[in-house]
Amino acid sequence: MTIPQRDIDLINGYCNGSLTDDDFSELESRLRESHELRQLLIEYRSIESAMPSALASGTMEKAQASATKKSRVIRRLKIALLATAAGLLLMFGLYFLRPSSEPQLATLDSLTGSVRWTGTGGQVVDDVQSGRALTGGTIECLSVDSSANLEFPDGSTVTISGMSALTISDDGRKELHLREGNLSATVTSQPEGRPLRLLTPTAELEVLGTQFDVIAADTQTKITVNEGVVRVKRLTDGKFTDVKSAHSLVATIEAREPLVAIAIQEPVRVWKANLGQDKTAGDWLPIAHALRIEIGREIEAGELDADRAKEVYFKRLEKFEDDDGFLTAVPRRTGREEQPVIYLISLNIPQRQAGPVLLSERSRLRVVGRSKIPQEVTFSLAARNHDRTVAGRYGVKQRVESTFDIEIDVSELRELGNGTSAGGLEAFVLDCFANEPGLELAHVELLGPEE
Amino acid sequence: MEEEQSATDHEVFLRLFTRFEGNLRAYVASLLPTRDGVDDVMQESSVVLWRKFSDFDQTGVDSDFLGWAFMIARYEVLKYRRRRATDRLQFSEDVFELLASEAERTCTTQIERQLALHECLKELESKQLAIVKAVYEDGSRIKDVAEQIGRSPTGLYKSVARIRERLANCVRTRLNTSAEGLS
Repeated sequence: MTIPQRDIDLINGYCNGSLTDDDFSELESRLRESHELRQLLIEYRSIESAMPSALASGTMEKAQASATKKSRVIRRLKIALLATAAGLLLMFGLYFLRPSSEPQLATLDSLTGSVRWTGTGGQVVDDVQSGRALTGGTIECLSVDSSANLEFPDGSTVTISGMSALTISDDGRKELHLREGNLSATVTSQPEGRPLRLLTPTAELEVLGTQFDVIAADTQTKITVNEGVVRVKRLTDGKFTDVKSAHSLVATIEAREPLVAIAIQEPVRVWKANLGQDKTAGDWLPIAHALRIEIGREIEAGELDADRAKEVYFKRLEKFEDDDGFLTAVPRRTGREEQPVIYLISLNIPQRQAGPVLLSERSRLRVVGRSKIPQEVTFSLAARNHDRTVAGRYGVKQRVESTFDIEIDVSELRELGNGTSAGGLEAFVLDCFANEPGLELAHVELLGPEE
Repeated sequence: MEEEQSATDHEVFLRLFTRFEGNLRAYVASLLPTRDGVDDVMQESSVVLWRKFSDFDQTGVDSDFLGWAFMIARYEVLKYRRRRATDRLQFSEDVFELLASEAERTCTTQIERQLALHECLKELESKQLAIVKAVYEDGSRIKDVAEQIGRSPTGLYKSVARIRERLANCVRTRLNTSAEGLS
């Protein structure tokens, strides 16, 4: 049965005792018309009436355990994040290597998690230490909780975080290639005619002196400029524009939209993911395709008559929005051979027309999905400070199985190492990963403190 | 008269009432907006059922008791509605009648629903279960619970609605699965 959401809301309001008189009149009118709605009300009320005895008959231990679970979750999170800190190997080839005579270009000022450096002569250094002098080469953050902060001799700094890879070179001007991931840069004034050049899969940036953030994936690059001006060229069609302070721009591979920067608005406290658009890791299956597959299987199993397939398809499709679907975790090989493959979904948290997404201690992350087997999933938010410097990664582990609909308090998300909370920071990436395949997400949103 | 009823009658009544109390409570809950009202009507109904138990034909099957009990409970709900005629959220006569007829059918399977619910509660996250306990086991109003745990009432209303929907889907699936298994 398909019941409009408004009707379901009215029934819930009735059960909650929160209906206004007008709402109640509307509910009565709808109940007169709809057998399905009457059935739903009876169903809800029957379940509610059975709740005390169902709770008393065996779920007490779980409920009592919940009070102590929070501290255990944080403890387990620390262990789990340490365990995964070996990191993820990015699935692409290394950028070219420089001759050994090349001078030092930057210093690895600080790092967290597992970071790999591939430098002169192709020498691979796992577990690179802070303070290392870097010539031309590639630095990779191998896990979702890794970060690396590079300092250049002229005082410019570049931080990459999460699963990111950055190649640095200098042929008279700084050149950076961000193949994938998150980068935040503070660039001092560059010599006249020799701006810093940053390349991503879909965009080329020229920077004279500014502070900006970049999130790069195969299909899109998002640039947020906090100070100064950055010239951005969309590689697909060669169009370019200047992005001013407090503006952001997304350069996509398809180049369907005009290349226009939009002003950064006031922070918002709620965010709903558009999984198909926001993903930077994960296989997207639009709902229309998922339903076709489902119906095909039912026909094959003899559960559905092929003649009714079209009718059933459209009836089921009615229940969904156009941008509904499933995002399936994809395997990522970890940085070292002895580390297991993990299955990752990564979402860019875009500002779109609104401002940055501000986390509050009382905000909650709602995640709806399914897992083919019971397993623990790590939910991790990358967040930054108001001054746009990267603050870190904040995560928690949750056990999920079959279909799940969970809410995670932002106050439970803790940073690796120091255990600080993400409250008050701005979120810009969400990662969900598990050790086994079969994790799918259907809905992700950040609920504000008042939700 | 109750003193004329035998000890055996008493035992039979207790057995039947205990067996079907959940069905009856679900039926009454489907017709009234508040838990207080449900408790009042259940109390009155149990007294009337015992008083009139000698009129009940015990030679039939147990399920006949449920049909008889539904009839008496419906009458008690009507009496309660008359006493509380000025309360908000009282359905008008025609909607009440529609709900009463359909609730009888649905509430016949309340025991299966309760067993399914027991399993479905195990699938909730601990935080969701804690909310369910606070709202349903302790019998507190959602508004009061929200205040106790430092959340906005609107936020908690939404959380409870989502949990309710999730449990209803889970129970429905389990009932359908067990019905298919029997067919």
